[in-house]
Amino acid sequence: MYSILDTVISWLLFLFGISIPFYLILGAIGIAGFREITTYEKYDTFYYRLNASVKIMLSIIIVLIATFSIWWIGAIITFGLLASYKSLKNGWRKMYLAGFLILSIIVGTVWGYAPYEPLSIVSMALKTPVSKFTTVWTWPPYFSILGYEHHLTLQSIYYSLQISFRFTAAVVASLLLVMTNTPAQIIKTLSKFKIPDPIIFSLVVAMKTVPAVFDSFDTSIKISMMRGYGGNKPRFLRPFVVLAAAIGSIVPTMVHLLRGAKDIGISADTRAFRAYPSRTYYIMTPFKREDYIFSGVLVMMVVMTVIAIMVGFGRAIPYLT
Amino acid sequence: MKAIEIKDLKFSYLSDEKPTLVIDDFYINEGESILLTGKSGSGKSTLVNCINGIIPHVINGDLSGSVKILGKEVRDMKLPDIARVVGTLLQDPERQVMNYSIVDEVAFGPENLRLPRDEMERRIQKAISVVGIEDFLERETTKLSGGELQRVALASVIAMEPKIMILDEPTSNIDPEGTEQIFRFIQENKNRMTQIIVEHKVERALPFVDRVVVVNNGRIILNVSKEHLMRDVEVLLEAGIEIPEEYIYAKKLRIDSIDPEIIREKLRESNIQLSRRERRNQGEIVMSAKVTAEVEGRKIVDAKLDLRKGQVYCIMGKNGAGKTTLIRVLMDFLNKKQFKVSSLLNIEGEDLSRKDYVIRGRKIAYLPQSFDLMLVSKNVETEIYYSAKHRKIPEFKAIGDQLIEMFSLEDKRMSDPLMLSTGQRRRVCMAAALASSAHIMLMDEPTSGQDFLNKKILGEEIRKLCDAGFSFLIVTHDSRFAYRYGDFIGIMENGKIVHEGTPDEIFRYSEKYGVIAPSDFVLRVSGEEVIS
Amino acid sequence: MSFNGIKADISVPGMIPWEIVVAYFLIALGFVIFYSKKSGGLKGFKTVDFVYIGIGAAFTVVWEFFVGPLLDKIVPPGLTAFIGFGFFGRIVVLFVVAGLVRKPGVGMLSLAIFDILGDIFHYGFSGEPVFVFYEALTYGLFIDLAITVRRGNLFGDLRAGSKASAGKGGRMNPSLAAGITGAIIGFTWAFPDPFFYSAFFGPFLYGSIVNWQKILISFYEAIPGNIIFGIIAGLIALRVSRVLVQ
Repeated sequence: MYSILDTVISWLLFLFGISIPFYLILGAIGIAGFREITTYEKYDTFYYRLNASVKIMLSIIIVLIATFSIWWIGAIITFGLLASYKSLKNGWRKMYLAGFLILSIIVGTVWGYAPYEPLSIVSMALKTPVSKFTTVWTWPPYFSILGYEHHLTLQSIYYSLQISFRFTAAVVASLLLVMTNTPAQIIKTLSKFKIPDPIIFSLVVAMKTVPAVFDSFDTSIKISMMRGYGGNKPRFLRPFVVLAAAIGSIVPTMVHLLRGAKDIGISADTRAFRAYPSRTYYIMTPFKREDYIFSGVLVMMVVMTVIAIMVGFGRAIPYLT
Repeated sequence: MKAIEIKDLKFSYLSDEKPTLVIDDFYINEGESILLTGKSGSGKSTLVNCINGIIPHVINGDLSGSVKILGKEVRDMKLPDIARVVGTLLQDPERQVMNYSIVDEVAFGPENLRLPRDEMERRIQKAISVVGIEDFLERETTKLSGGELQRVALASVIAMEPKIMILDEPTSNIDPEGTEQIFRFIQENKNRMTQIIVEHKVERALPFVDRVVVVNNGRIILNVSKEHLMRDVEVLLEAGIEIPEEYIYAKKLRIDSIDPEIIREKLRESNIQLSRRERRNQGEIVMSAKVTAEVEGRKIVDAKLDLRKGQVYCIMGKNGAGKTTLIRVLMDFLNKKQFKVSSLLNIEGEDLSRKDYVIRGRKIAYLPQSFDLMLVSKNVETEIYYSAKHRKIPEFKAIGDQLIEMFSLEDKRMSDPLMLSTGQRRRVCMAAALASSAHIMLMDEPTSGQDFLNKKILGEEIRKLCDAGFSFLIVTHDSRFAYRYGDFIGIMENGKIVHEGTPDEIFRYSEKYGVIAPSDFVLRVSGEEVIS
Repeated sequence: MSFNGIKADISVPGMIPWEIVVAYFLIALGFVIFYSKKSGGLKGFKTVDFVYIGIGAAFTVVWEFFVGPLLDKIVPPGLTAFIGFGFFGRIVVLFVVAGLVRKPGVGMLSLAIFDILGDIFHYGFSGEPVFVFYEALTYGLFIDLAITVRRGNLFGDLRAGSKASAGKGGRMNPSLAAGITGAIIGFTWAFPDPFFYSAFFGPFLYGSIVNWQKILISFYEAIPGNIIFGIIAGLIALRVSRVLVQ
């Protein structure tokens, strides 16, 4: 018989369980810490000197490697790249912050996947009969409507842990790009990938607009509250009032910023935008020695992965091999 | 050769029944400088857009007749080809500059033209040196002041090396110092390129042009050389264009000059006394503030001021002096994580130093420069009821209806506020802000982008409200507005209020702080009183 | 090697067969190319259209990465499938941009640009270019289909009453049209995440196991919220378009 306490715990796990990684990372590193590992800081070591295009290639190649090879290759890449964070500005701190982020991704992925994984397939994946699985938690029977397996097993958790390293490898590589290049450098690099100029133009406009969105949104919300929005509600309800005011501020903020769109369009058109199918760039970011070296490393990584796949360490995803 | 030649032009926007612009015959010679003026909505921008090809290549509508630039029909040219000949500098540099770095912005046009590298280099370096922005090339465009940004925008247009230059109200959003730099460029390049300067303020551009063209209701109603402008002062007034007082007296006294100092002397000789508005600086102090704001250990605001009942206190100074930040500190709008803020604030006897913007909002109303951000309701009535209703004031309807009447918004009561004209939106915002029952209003550049008529309406509304006991703290670049409607002026520099006094006191030496005295003041003051 | 390597059978219920996914994307891509050519492709877009998309993209970044997560805090995380504010913010912004541009292709282009901007600011191109194609050819394509079907008047005829629409009587009330169109697009947006992501890209990229019960429940969960916010977003898009196109 399923006890009331078990039912309550099950529902609490369902409703709030996935916030655990969120609180884990926020509690440990805070929003400011999170920003630290997602924003550029000026410095001069190997990664900073590398061309952004090489780092974009790194991200893409690592996703491909993680996708087509066995899970522990993803794990090795995750920890290998994480170790190389040491060379970044405040390297130890960045390693610490990124470590927490990775931990939260692992917990989040495990929590997001483990309860749903059909045991018969996990059994095929791990070559272990279901009868030998260890049950960690039993959900109420009606949770099956939500897609939950009746039993949460240690093996499901183990399998989900393997999946998580495919995410983490990609994240560690991607953070490198955003920590060592300005958004403007990244956008400029995109032209090298033959992305059409109008798309790059939209990205340039977007980049320029992001701070204005923050400012305008903030002002609009504060004016609403100055004008009495939220009435005399107690202070502890303030976050809810702010968020409700934010919804009301969407339209005026959008209208305010979009009213300027015509002028930006005219500004570009009167400076010969789209005169030719593509444009040249005055400031170039040429390939340097470091870029060639790193490109060589990337090629080696691909070759090694192909060899690994050929000797049996290939992808291990149900229904695809 | 004619730079621009227009014949039988008729243009109407798709949503309009009547044509917005009708021009039978108009031309501009190569090397000529034209002042194009008219009130908001007169058709100036439509005319400009017909010349730079935005009409018909970007804006659709019914177009007939002919517009030629350097002998070529605009309609038959491609937009990028027009851009090689016609450069356009827009009113608001925030909306013109789109790149993150200054060099990228200046290079944008030459890059689009796929110019050879050497040529690109030559043009970019030349443009940078012409407008003098070498000193801050490394900074990001998002961190520049309005004046600096306008110079970057100008450099980006110069790099296109246009033969015809349109400057569409190029100084309306920047401080007097930035304005001077723009006009210096115009002066230095007069005759080298054909220039069309679009301006509300005739006297500002007049020294730099050959001819004045007035547009009203979509038609050219005046097209005269500047020497003959005085004959037609009435036409300008009837078209709702801001005319400096000295023009009127010059015509009245038949003086062959528009120099305010000469006119002032003639007025004295003729024993004509010009009226001076009585300044209202005797009321009790309703707001007393001493505030500081620091960023990265640097004080960007360190100011102390008192506002009196019924007073209009104008804060003036160069771009970047800290004026808007001061207002934001008073409102408690600054992000505490970014700025270290301290404030001693007493309003109507209540200490609000430690209170946040929600509580301060009960005592202070605020009208930001971008007033659209206030308009959160679907119709004017709801917007104006908003504040008192949310504060659960039972008479919210009566309060709102009174303001609707005061601001002449009765016929717009159920309209979507965002769809109204700029002047109407500003009035809705003022009414909505005042409905909070606050008696102190802070305004940030309320005259920016408004024409003479709208500014006059605003000034008169403010004075009326002062009579009813309201007080205003206004950040403005508009010297004439401050002189005509202000009681007290505080000049800001490097975050401090360095001088305070009545407009008649302040404008004597304000020039050294980048605040140029209006001609209204020059006409009324004796020559030796001005300290340069 | 025994680590999760299994010999599987494509006919076993689970991941959507790759042939179906490839066929969908080929057809979608074919449709895009066909209609792009018909409407002039990127050349048919005015510069201001790219500006609208750029400003929209800036909004999405701010909303999805900064405001949305705060709003989501109000809702118990287990219910975010019903009420995902980050996602709804994206619906509003995209509808507004699509309502302003009103040309087939704006949906896909916007999604691609929103995605790349997210990569630049946050994700750093992990999973690319798969996600750009996935989102553009699902969420984006559905908007473009709606624009094509509605012949440009995506969220109601803006020029109702103007000379441009004179003589075209019997049109649907613009607000009603905006609401209905918003609801329909909102409904179609309930499909991609469960069916394409959970049943194909998730297993394909990360090796997750497909659970059809979970997929179906995610789909059902998403429908009401998407429809309600689709209607709201449609009405907002109509209002913003009217304000800006007046």
